[in-house]
Amino acid sequence: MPARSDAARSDVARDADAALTALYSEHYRSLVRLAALLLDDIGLCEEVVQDAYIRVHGAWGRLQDRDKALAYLRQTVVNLARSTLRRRLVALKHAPKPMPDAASAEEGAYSLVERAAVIQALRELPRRQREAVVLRYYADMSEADAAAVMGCSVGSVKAYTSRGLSALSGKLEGLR
Amino acid sequence: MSALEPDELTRLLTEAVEPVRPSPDAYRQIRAGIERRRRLRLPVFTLGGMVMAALIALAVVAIRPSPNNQTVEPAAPPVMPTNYTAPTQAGTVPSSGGSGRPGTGGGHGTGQGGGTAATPTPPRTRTTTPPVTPPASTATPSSPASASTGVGSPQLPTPVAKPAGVNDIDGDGRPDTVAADGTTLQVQFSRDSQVARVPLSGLTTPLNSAVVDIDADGFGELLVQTGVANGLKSYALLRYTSLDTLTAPALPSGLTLTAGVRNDTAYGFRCGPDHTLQINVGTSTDGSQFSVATTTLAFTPDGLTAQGTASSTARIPSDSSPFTVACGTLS
Repeated sequence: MPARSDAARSDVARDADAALTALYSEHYRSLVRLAALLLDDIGLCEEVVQDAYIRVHGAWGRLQDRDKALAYLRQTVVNLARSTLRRRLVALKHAPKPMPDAASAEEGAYSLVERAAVIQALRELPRRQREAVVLRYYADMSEADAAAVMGCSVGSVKAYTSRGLSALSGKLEGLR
Repeated sequence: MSALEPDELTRLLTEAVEPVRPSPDAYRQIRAGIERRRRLRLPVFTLGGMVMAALIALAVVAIRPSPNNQTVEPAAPPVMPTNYTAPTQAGTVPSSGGSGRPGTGGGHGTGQGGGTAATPTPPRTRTTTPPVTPPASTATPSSPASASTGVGSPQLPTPVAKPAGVNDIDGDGRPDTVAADGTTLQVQFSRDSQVARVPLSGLTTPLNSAVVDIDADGFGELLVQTGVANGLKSYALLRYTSLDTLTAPALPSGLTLTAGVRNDTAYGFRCGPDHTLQINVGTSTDGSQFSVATTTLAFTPDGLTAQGTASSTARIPSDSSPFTVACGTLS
């Protein structure tokens, strides 16, 4: 029995490695961009997405439907983004005021995103409205899928989306 | 303000994140994270297993009954010191009417002189459960010895012989002394020179008693006549139920330890075979031909339990009247 279970484990590990490589090449970039819309610190986006990949890889043997690996990844990214924001909020409340930092190399790379008005407008939305808008209009998910990822009802997704869209309309009036 | 179209919002969002480029070594970092997680898994699992084992061990220790709660039978006869006093007996000693009788054992001299002479203090008396004995008929115990003496479960010493020897109530192989003081029966145990006092109203003097190990458990049962009225003699049966304690076992309802004939009713009992006590109750229409119901009683921890009833007939006077006492030397 132990030999068989070891063999089964190695099969799962091989599956997970192959799936990880495929998911990385197909979806990594889009997931980083999704995270970039959810987080207010773009530097954390890759960290969050990489952590999501590691977690899904670790849980590969427990996934009930491996065809939904992308959905699991997206959900993990959203959850980790929430946790990161929450953690940073707590840290900001208790941390002393930081000294002004010198601009880093990464900031130059993301400067275009930072300056984008739509990103600024998105960051001003409440968290759930922001998630609903991003999942519906950037990730192109259905209301049901977005509800599953956000952990709320379809009706709530509709309400969040509608309010978010309305708020963004006002903020982005000048761009159009 | 015109509403933002979904398609337009999608375009804006896509354009906004278009400049975001993943770092080239992202895949390597993911692989490194997986390896790190894999390396951590074994120590974490090991630690988790150890914690679980510790919790289970703690639970087992917490749930397992304490050794103090376990009943351990003594392997050998306990040696009871001569000055042994049960904790609850200490308070009864001064108040006992007989405690001031020095040399009780020697007064009744039955070979116990050596034992009592070695004891510097007078033998202490022990108040025993008084059996509720109606003057003319029955001996019914009021409660178990443990309830009245305060001692927990009855603790019987191990007898040296089964059945017990002559006049040996406490099972130490030596005869014990039975005496009467007014309406109080006094039994001095040879084991520890303690005196048990049992009030028996109607106790006859001179004392008519016998020690018979009816149930052959190594402790002799004490049968003593407690009265005589209208031709019927009533008796009490006392058992050695715990150290220095005599208790009257419960009889089934309707049965008494009585012997004799009165008009058309007659009673008797005998120590039957197989360690039983047989009680005979006879009824007659003419005073001579009796139909006899014989109830066989067995000794149990709860008292005497009826095992069966047999019917017979007897004619008196005859040589073998069933309406007498036939237990040891008792008559």
